[in-house]
Parts: sequence; structure tokens; C-alpha cells
Amino acid sequence: MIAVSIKNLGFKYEKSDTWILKDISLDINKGEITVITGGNGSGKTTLLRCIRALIPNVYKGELVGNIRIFNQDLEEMDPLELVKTIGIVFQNPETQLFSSTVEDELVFGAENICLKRDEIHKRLNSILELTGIEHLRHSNPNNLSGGEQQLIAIAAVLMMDPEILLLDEVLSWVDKDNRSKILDILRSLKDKGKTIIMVDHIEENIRFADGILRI
Amino acid sequence: MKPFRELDPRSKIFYVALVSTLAVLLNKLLPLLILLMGSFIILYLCGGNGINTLYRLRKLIFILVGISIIQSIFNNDGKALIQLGNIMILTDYGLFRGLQFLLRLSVIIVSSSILLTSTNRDLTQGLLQLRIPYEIVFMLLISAKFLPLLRDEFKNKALAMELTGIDFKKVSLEKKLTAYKYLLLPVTVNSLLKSKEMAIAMEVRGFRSMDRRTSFRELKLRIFDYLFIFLSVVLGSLFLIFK
Amino acid sequence: MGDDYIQIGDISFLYKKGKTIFDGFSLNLPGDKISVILGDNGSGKTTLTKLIMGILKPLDGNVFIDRKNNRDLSLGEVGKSIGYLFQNPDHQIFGTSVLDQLVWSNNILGEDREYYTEKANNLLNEFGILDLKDRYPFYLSMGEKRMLALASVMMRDIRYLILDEPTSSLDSERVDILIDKLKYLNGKGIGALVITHDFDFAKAIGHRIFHLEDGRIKDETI
Repeated sequence: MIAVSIKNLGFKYEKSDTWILKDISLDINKGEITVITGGNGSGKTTLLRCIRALIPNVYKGELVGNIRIFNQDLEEMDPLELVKTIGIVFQNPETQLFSSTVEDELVFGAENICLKRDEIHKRLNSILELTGIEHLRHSNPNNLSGGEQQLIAIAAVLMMDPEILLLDEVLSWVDKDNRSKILDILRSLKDKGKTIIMVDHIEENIRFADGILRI
Repeated sequence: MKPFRELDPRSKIFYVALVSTLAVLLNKLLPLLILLMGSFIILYLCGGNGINTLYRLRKLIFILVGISIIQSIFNNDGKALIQLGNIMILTDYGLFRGLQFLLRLSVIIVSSSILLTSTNRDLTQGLLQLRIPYEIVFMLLISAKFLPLLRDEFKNKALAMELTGIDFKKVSLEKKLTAYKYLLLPVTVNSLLKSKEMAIAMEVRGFRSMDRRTSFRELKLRIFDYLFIFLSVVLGSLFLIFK
Repeated sequence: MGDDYIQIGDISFLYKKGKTIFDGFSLNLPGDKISVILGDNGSGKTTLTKLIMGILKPLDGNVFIDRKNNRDLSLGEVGKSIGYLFQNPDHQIFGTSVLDQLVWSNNILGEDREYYTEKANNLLNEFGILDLKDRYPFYLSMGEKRMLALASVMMRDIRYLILDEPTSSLDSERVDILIDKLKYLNGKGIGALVITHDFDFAKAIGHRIFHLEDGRIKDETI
């Protein structure tokens, strides 16, 4: 099954003259880990933004081409569907975490989509276990290392139980130990049938990918 | 003391509203002083740092002096305490008004400090359960997180600037202003960019994707909360009756 | 100069929350070599660099920079001899353009514009970011920002560098450039203290590698 189908995608940011993305077409299968790599300014982050519909909703510019998610036009998905289907984790944990405890951070998203208390409880416990941060449940995210913060950011997005997970250079601020933890988590997610698209420029992180797109 | 430490944040919010209103309604200095002392006691019982607050209040002395003098000069009531020729610099009326203002402000500050004895999370939950729109509550929460970050940003950049060899004490005013411009611009731009990123992070986790939201936690008022609120109302009324 | 440029003598330091980070800590860093301190988060690495620069003052003991007690030096004076690279380059980038970042302080002090602009352009070229010279710095990638921060401290005639986690967020290409630059600068007699948790990077550039754990040097690798 094809999770993400991109056809002739092109994008130019509003204030720019250059087309950052030019005629990109690719199909990403469900349950696979795809890595997008390339030099600075090559458009990796831009591509992720398009897949998550942040372009053109948040980032303005000229967009051409078409993206389909599980055979549905991305354009036609409403915000709630997007939230529940595609999760995205960004590079800087600082701007993704704003709660006073890890538990609060994780339940924030679940509360937003009106999950009932016992469902939130279930998901919370399962995600805490999956990401190995049960011991941080009551900690203040501000006092944790970049690597731990990134684990929390990923856990927070996983609380939405998205089918597709996008990761934008999430390993940049992460030390070696937490890096391998994150890669393990991604492998478990793949086993559960989740589709993962990761932007990364470090070769050694790419080795386990099912597919690599170099742009 | 323990029941005070476990007071529901909504009880605290109610208390602050009540006491602040009283502070404005009371006129005489003695009841205001008693109210202030009472606020200190409650703050202490709830685990607040009374000494810290008292230390910070000392800066209000300037307001006391300022208002006293202004009221003295522009109001012809009262006997002169300090006079300069024909102008009354300080009258007993002026002093009274100054003290009144000082006490009122102090009561409001000290009673509000009680809110700091609850965690941010408890306070937001309290506000949410009081049916304040969640957009506003989260705005307050984010600001509370942001402001210290902004302050750190300034500190770090100022430090970096000093390291470049610009001795702020020795350069001329014009150069100092230019230097400050270099400090202000990036901090402002950075903040805007950061808040945009934060807004996106919240949005992709469903913030405002539905009309309402559920709550994982639930605050429940206890017997002591009801007692506390009841006694506050009773004492407050007594204050008003015996103005 | 084979002498120790930085001498840390028996310092003690703790944060307000009471956690003792250093207690009777001593270390000497030679001025012509690259020393590396390896350690995990929380081991006190960054605090140590701040104690050396004089940003933080030890409770006991002294730090000497080129035989001068850093308690007697202003931050500006320290900054003229030691180039400090923050872990987050945003902390030291405030120019309105990449080129401006290098020349702004000289402009404020009203010094020879032409000379400094030429020096700046040369440095930008050396660090591979000349093509970005008119760009607004905040849109640079992390790697480009690090190069910019390094170029800007090199505008001053510093004798020593302190770099806090300089390779985080750098792709392998830029790490190689960084290694080259540090070796090149070292060849000109500029020593460095590098704080990192990246062992491979440490091995690539360090003449001496110290392992810092719980406020103590555990062992030294050469």
C-alpha cells in the first residue's frame, strides 16, 4: 500500500526567486522507513513541510504538483484528519516543549483531540514505555538534556497515534545514547506498520532505511 | 499548615480577587495594615516566601514618597509637615494618601503572591475549570515560559558582546546606543521566529483543531477549600462592616 | 610557547541550588596544543569554560590566563585573547548580515573600515561562507552559523580558542572543515580547548584528551 504519493511537486517560497523543489515525484510505501538526505538548502525540510501540509497553509509560496496520503488528496484533508494521520517532529526540542512536566506535555495533544480520560491514560502508559521515558514522567522538560527532550517531543507526537511520522533532523542535538534509542523506537514503529520519513544528513543514521531519497 | 499547602488553585484565585477588592474598598490605614498582615500570614501558611516578597516591596517606598509629595502639593487640605516657602512639600493629608496607596498596592502584591505557591499546571487547570477560554489560558502559560527565555537571551547576547571587547562603561553614548540596537534586533527577531515555531508545534498536535478539549486532570474542591472560601467571605464582610 | 597558557588552580564551584560541581579542581592547558575535555551532559564541561573565561567566578582558587589572574581582567580583556564559541551560536550572532557580524564591533569603535572589511572577507572565504556574506544570519543552517561564529572570533587577534560542543549539528563535511581549520590555526600557534562528547572528533584533533566526570578528571588519553 502506498502511504505517500508525490507527483511533480515543486515549490518556491514567497520571497524567493528560486524553486527549492523542482518536479519531485516519489511513492513511499506504508510500513517503510525512508530517509531524505541532501546538502544545506536542498529542500529536505521544505519537502517535509509539503507532506504535512504546512506548505502552503503556514509557509507561503507557489506550490505545484500533487500529494496523496493513503490515496486521499492532501489538500482535501481537514486539520483534524491531518493531526491524526501525519505527525511531525522538528529539529529544535526547545520550541516544541512548553509544559512543566513530561506527563503534561504528552497529554496536551491527546486533550486537544478530545480523547477521553481512560484512552489518554492508556496511550500515555504505552508511549512512555515505548520511548523508555517512564522515569521522566514527572520531570520538568527544561531540565533535561537535548537528547531526552527530543525523546519527549517524539513521544508527544506519538500520542496522536499518527500513521505517518515525519522527522526533521531530529538527531542534531542528540547524543549517541539517545540517538540509538530514537532509532530503536523508529524500528519498533515500523514493525507496527507505521510509515516513517526522516530527514537527516548524517550517513551513519541512514544505514537502516528502506529507501533513500537524495535531493 | 498542610491543608493550606493543598488548597485548590481556584480557592486561591477567589481569595486574591476578594482581598484585592477589599484593598480598594477600605480607606483607613489601620484596616489596610491588618489586611496586609493577614495576607502575609496566609502567604506563609501556603508555603510562600514572605521574606522575599517583603524585600521586593521595599522598592515601593519611592511610590510612597512620590505620591505623598504630589498629593501634598496639589491638594490644599491638611497641615504642612514640611514647607518650602509658600509651597507645602508634605502635608499630613499627602502622607496619608501616600501610605494608603502603598498599603493597597502591597496588599494586592502580597495576596497575589499566593498564586505562585501553586504550580503552573495547577493554575492553568484551575483557570480552565473556571471556564476561562483555553486559548487565553494557554497564552498565559506560554508567556510565563517565554519571558524567562527572553531574559536569558538578552543576558547571553550581552555577555557575548562584552567578550568582543566593547567595554560598555567606556564607550560613548552614541556607540552604546548602536550597540544596544545590535542587542535588541536579534532578540526581537529570534522571539518572533521562536513563537512561530511554537505555534506550529502546538498546531500539529491538534491545538484548536476542535471546538473544545478534554482534560486529563481534574481538580476537586475539598472540605478545607470550602471552609477557606467561607471564612474569607465572612472575614471580608466583617472588614467592610467595621470599616 | 610551550608554557601553560591557562592554569586552573584548585577551584571550587557550586551552583545556587547547592550542587557542588568542582572541589579543588586543577588543570593546566598548554597554549600551543589542542586540549579536549570529554564528558557527558551534567559533568560540568560548560561550567568549566565559563570559569576559565571569568564569566563565572570560582568560590575558591584562581584561574590564570597567560599568568594573569582572570579576576583582575574584564570580560572584554579576556575576549581579546581568548575566542569563546558558545554551544549555541545564536548567542553570539547579532549582525544584520553575515559580513556585518564580523565588522560591527570594529565599526562601532570607529576603526579602519577598509582594513577590517578586507580581513572579514578573507575570513569568510577561509571558512567557506563568503557566498553568504549578505545573508541575514538567522536563516543560516546550524553548520553555517558555527562557521560564522568562528570567523567572527578570529577577527580579533586571539591566542586561544575555547569551543563548546562545536560539532553538534554539523554534517561530516563541515566537521572535516572544522578539523582542518583548528589544525591550521594550531599550526600558527593558536591553542584550543574543545568541549565535546564526540569521541571520534576528539581523537581527530586533540593532543590531549581529558575525561571529565562528576567534577573530576578521570583519565587522560594521548
